[in-house]
Amino acid sequence: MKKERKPQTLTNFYTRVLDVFWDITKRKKEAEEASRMVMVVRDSNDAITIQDFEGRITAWNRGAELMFGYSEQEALQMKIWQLAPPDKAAEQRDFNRRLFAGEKVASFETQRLTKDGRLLDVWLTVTKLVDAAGKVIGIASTERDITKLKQVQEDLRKLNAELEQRVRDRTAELETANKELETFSYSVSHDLRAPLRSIDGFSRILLEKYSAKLDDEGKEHLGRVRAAAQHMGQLIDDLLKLSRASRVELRREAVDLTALAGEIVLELRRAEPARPVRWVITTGLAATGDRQLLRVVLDNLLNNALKFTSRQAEARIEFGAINGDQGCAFFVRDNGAGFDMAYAGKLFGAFQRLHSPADFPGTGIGLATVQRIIRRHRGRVWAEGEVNHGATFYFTLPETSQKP
Amino acid sequence: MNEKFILLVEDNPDDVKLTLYALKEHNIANRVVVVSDGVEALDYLFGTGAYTGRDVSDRPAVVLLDLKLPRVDGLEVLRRLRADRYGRRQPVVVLTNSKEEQDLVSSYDLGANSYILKPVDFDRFTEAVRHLGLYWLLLNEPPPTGSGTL
Repeated sequence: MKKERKPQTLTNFYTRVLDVFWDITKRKKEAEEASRMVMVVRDSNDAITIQDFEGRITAWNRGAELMFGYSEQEALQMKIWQLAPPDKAAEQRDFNRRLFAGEKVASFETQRLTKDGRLLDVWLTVTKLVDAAGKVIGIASTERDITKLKQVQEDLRKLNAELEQRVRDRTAELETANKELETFSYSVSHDLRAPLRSIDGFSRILLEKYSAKLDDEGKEHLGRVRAAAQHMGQLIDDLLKLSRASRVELRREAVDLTALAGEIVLELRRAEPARPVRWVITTGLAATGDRQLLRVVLDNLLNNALKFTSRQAEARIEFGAINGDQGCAFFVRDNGAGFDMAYAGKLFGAFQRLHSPADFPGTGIGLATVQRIIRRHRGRVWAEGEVNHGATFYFTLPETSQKP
Repeated sequence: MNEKFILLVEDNPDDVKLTLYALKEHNIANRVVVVSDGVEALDYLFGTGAYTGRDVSDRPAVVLLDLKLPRVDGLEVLRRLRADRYGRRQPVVVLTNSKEEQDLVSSYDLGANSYILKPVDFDRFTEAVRHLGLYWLLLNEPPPTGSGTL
């Protein structure tokens, strides 16, 4: 042991602590073991103090000295509640009284006042010290400075509250934006369609009732006016579908894709009964997703396939599935006009078209809608094609796509 | 018995003109009463306001009701009509530009008999008007003409 190198005051303190342990345990300890305890107390950053029945401080370690700023000599002249801030002094007195009365010891959070007047948050642990007869003769207190911890906690709490507020603000902004979008779609559907009907309707009345007064060129112009009005009507309808595909709440249900494709094909055949098309639909294709939205996907892809095979003598349109690196992918394949892979990236952009309206009419919104719906299902959509050799559109529905 | 007639509730004069044209085109010569907003529609049906004193037991075979109307909108007209003992029997077809799901749901919830989206394409529009005229003026059996007010 090298106790003699330590300052005199501290030695006194260690001796007292040792005495106390002696009394508590009543066991004879080896000097070595005792010295370990001394080291623990000495090197502790926590303030460790002992007080007697009257609250007089009777032991004071270096941790206490550093924390509270009082030297041992000063501290030994003080009562423990002098360390408590004015509003906590009563609490401390009361606590001491209850301890000596035999109540259970506890740990709790309180505050301490340093010599230079700083307020510290401390975590206080108290231990009753009893003599051989079991009588309480003192209280050992360990105080841990948690001021910084409390500060960090408080900062965190503020940060969290700020974050929550920001999330609330953003959500409110988004809700407003969504409402505006809805109002906008409503206006689009209602207010833009009416004037178009007027343009189309009165053009037709002119063509019908006043055709005698129009020459061929005049009639052709009116025909163009009508075609343009109808095209714009289609644009509005498609834009509404696109906006709806983003707005509606996604439902998840088991969807029989084979049956869905069958329904659409039936409608398409009814619309153009004269066209010979060979439809090849794989049986047993199923997925989990929003039935209505997936219908929009298949409707667009199958309609496109039909449109782009319109110049094919023997049109063949297939709906099936393949297993690839990313699991199962569904596909719609046709042997129609195809497209140049150099422009594959443009396929899914709104208003992007790879064919002139004279060749194949369309609004350029269908595939953008398909992409939006597939993305909302966390899937992927891509296309492969070659000019005059057909196109294949693939999509994945990751959740529970199945291939038979 | 009075001749069957249509009450057209429509604020857009072009649409009024096109509807009348379409009816004439298909030789549907029945009378069409046109009112241009919800207040006027309710006044006509209940014999109030400008229509005080009208014989309200003379009811239209069908009300063609636009939804977006000045002052009182179509849904409110429907609501007030359905709250009335006789008005609840009045055949009402919503004829609108709105494809919004909420409008569809509200209209049916409030007891619309049918919901027709006005096509932009005038050929399809006249076809729709023709169907409406034939169905509601010829095929459909209207509720019996009760005594008392609507």
